[in-house]
Amino acid sequence: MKIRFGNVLLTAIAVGVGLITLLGYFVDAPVLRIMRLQLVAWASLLAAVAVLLGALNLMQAHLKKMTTGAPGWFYSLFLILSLLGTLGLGVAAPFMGWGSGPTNTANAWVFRYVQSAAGAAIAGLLFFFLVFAGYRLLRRRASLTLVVFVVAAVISLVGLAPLPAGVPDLGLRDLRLWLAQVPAVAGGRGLLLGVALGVVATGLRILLAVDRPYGE
Amino acid sequence: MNLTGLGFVLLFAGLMIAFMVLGRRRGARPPAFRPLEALQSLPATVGEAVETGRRLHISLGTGTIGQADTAAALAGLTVLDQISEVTVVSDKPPVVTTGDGVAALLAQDTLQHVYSRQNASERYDPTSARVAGLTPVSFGAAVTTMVKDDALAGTVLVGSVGSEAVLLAEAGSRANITTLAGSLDPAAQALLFAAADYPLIGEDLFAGGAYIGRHPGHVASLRAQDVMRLLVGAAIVVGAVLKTVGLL
Repeated sequence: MKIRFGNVLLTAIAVGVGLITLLGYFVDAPVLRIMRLQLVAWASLLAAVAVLLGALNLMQAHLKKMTTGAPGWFYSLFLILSLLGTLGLGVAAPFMGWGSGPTNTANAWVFRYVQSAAGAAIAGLLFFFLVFAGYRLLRRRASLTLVVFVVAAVISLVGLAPLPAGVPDLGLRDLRLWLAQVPAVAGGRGLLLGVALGVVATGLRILLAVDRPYGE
Repeated sequence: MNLTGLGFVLLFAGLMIAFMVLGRRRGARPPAFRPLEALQSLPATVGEAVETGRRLHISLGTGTIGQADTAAALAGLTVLDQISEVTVVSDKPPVVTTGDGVAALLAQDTLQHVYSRQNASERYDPTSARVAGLTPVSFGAAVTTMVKDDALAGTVLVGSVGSEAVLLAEAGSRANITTLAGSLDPAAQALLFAAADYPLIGEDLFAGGAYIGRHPGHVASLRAQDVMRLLVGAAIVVGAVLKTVGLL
């Protein structure tokens, strides 16, 4: 197997930086703390540049879709125009007296009346999608877990629904509260515990150079 | 000094190294995994994509590298690396989406290396790994349209994603394609349990590397996770008993 010097160097840097950052959390040494904070600051800086790269990547992918006339190219055109328009508004804002920085009046208007409104509309659709998904689920997979899932979902929905005056809730409100406070919390903690162990294992695989997402 | 935290990490790392060494011994038994429908269905989904000449969509979700959901995106990259080994040779290579610039760069790098390993570097297209949207809702909306526009054969979502994952699963269901999805967020896991064909629950998200590629490092990592789960579980039970009898 051919070992490239570049890959060894990348691995050494990644493992070294990872170890310093990790030890900076556990060992109370000023040098380690300063190094950790500095490395995290550099990472934040790189992440900010990556947002710009991400926008460029988005534009590149949609330009290609437009120029090749791929299905849905019209939406790509709309996306590129919106991207350039928003960028133009941000650049022009200080000269037009709309304020400066990301919170200028023009950007705030776009976020409030375009992005937030569109986001809210899409979020509103989620409810209907979930109802359909629940219906399909009942037809597709029949299992004990599924029955428990559906019964818990129905109890939670009915337990939360406002009932007309004089209609007894048959103890569903208390049952919903118990479901939310005992089994749901216990299950959620179990899931989080498993996820946390998975996160630590993934981090350790990088530190032990088992996974190298930065090269071969 | 936080000795408990350091000890936990050292014990975890020690177990991983020990399992890696044990796994590489001559005559070591092959790993036996518990049945996991989502990951066991993956070869069929990948095979269908290759045979039908359609694209497989691999999504790393909206997680940001450098934040709390980094590990989920890295788990997604592992799955991407292993699936794309098989699919890059097909007529339609996989398309990868993320909601983060760094994750997109890492996905491009991963794909480029896979093409290079397959001696097909000339076929690599940088736009096959792309940022679908920089906010959760725009990401959800973008991947929804991709299902139809890119004639996808299936979607594999391994990463951090919120309720917008339902949009993707629903679009997949309407197009009659398989959706396998998992997220770090427990609320999103509950939604995906209902909406996805094959949901990944809890730490299943991180098991892809061991189940798909059987890489010794990933298998060792999974075994170490199991041991640590038992130890943490035992510690919780002992702690509860000690607290109950007033010794803590």
